[in-house]
Amino acid sequence: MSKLELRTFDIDSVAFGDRTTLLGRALTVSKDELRALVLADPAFSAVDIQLVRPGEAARITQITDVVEPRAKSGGTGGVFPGLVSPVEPAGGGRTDRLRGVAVVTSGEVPWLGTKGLFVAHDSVLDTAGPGADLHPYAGLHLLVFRLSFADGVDHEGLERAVLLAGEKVARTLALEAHDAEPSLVETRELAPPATPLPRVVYAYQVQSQGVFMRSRLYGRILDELVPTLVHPNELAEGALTSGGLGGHGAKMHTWMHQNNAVVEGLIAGHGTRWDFAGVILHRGHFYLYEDKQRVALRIAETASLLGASGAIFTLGGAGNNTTEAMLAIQECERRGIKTVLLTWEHAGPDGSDYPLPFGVAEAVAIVSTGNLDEPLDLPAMERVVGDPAIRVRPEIGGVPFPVDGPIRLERRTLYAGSANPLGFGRTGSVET
Amino acid sequence: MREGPIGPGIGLQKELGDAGRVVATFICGDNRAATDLESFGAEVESALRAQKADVLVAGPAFNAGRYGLACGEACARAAAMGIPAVTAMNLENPGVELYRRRTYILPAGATALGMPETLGRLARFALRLARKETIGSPAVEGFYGRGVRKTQLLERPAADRALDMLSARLAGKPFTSELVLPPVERSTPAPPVKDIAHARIAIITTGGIVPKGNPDKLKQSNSTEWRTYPIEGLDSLEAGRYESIHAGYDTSAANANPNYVVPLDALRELERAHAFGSVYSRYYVTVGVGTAVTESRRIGREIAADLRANKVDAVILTAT
Amino acid sequence: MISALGPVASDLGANRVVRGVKIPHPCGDPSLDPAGDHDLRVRLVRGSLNALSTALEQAAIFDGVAA
Repeated sequence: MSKLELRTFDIDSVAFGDRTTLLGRALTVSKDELRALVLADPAFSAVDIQLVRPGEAARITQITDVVEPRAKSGGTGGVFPGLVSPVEPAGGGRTDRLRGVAVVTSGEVPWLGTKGLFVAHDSVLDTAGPGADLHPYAGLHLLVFRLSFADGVDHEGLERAVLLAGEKVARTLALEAHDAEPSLVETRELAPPATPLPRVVYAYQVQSQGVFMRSRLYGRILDELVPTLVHPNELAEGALTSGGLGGHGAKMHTWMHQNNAVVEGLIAGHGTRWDFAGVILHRGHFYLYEDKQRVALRIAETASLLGASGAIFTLGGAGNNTTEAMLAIQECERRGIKTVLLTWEHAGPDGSDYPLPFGVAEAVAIVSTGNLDEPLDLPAMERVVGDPAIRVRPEIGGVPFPVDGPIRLERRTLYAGSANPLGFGRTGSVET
Repeated sequence: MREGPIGPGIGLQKELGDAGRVVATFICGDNRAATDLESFGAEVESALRAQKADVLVAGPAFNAGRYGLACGEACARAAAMGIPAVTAMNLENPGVELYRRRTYILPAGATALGMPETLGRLARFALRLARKETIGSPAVEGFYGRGVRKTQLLERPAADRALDMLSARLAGKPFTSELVLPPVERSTPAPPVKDIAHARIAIITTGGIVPKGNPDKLKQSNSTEWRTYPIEGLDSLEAGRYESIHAGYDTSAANANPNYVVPLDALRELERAHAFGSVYSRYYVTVGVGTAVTESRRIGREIAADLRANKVDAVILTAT
Repeated sequence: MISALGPVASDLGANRVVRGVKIPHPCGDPSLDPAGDHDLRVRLVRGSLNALSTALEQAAIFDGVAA
């Protein structure tokens, strides 16, 4: 049985200095060391490092990933197995995490002429004002790595390079915790409950249908994923990472996979409210109806095999992705497994349209994180970290959209994290 | 149309007191109204234009189905014209599901035994509408939810709300879903094409196939418009001359062979074999990807009108 | 309608649906040789003509039709 000792080191201050060290709760970061670490990858021509402290009003543009610093300090294996560490068992031993600081990679990823789905869409994220409630990073020190790309790197290369850069830095920072005093030590283990409790599973849907719209498990892309069972401790180690540089309102950064609010809630309630039996990882957005049916059946069968009486679902995207989840909900309910779906809506700009693109009669329990089609008015921030304009309309070759000063986003898909796909935030829908 | 209050209008006038005046009553047999809601609605519109009213009150219809439809239609037309409107009917009345998104409908009992009390509520609500007061949410004001949703910050994180809902379901306790899926509207299948051998057939696609370069700048998602492009004299869609700008699927196959999404080559072959009459000279294109249902309906209506005007008999619509 | 997600289209109100191949290429299959792919496309369009000529009381899903 997987048993992970998770040590949390709360960070109260971050500053730049000569060497990267952690003293008490103060993290010092060496720009030179980290710059050298990132630029060891020839995919990058330059990197600029900036710090945004909690409480500052910054607009960060073109975020590609957000990663929480974690590193192993005991036992076998390493964090981000298959990417930064070898493919070895994850989820046991001892892992250190720095809470209160996050590594943010950003940059204008070249579009290389594509116009459709596989584009590194640009986003904005505000650390203050109304936008600060729409993502989980507002209370964190954000170390923003603004990446510039070398010529001649193709999409696959860009995607991998960006992903690895964030993870390498994240691990390097967390390694500094090794001798420090943790704020919190938890033992995470899904021990059998003392009294019988209903078994529940989490059907975790991720994106993986092609470059820039991907996720990785132990470093392997999930484009062909048949639903598979994962232990939440593996997620804590960064076994599941982002890779997606596209579609941000709904996009899940690596940080979100590491700190999944649904997983945290299920772990917290294990042994008291339920018996958390595991995570059924799957991808949505299959192009064949039969593939969607396969996903639905595999999820329901796996849940049944585990003796689950309940299943909670989250989505990796809307539209096409909603179908897999709904069909799986139908199959689960038919087997007597009670379901809850956490999703956002596309109810049109005025909130009056059909909220979901597809539904089944069995989906009787839905929690909504609000309407992603609603316009979002954002005030000016004190500074812009990154380019003062982002690119929109890839289908006509790209058009600059200036984002310094107050802006109105016609739809929230340009705002990082706004779909609240894993339920971190308090967003919801109220009928008027 | 008669001057002054008639029937329930008299009771309504009593409830309004000096604050409002029922200037006219529109009377119609409920059968006549419900059998042809389209022309009934049009008559309501002309009547309202002639009257200069501040508010329209319809019903109360209680459980009378045809009356409910007529009330709903009348109020929906008024609201669309900018004249505030309100009606009242029982939850079971079919008018509720059909019209609650288009006008305010207050709850009412099943029979006219509740008339005085319902008229009181209608009068108060009508006065507030006439005074242009802010109307709160259905939970507060009591009217049937209009299916209009606004994003707000609730008290607790969504994950906690979802896990609480799961707990409740596992314990067999009552729970309230935050979202109830509206019913899908179905239409009766159109009659089949009578004479396929002579039929003019048009191609529509939501797959985003446009001439290379996207000359009309068709959006890749959240569509609000449609376009047509000529295919007269073309035996197929040539790769390199067309591309897909759709943001919801891998477009490499479609770009290599646009006929995968707009099957012109197959249509031409069957046209030559006289399996049908002719291919209409233009194809229609839009995209899906988050396109609102209301926009889709409007796009569909406009395309349908264009098809009719061009004497198209049938359509093959390809979806991606 | 030709759609790879036949049952979804049907559930959402499309009355005459022909099962397409796959979302990115509903009217063909790039894994087939050109002749087989073209043949498949003609079958799907024939299936559409068949669906258009069929009287229906309610929504139905059709397949492609061989000559």
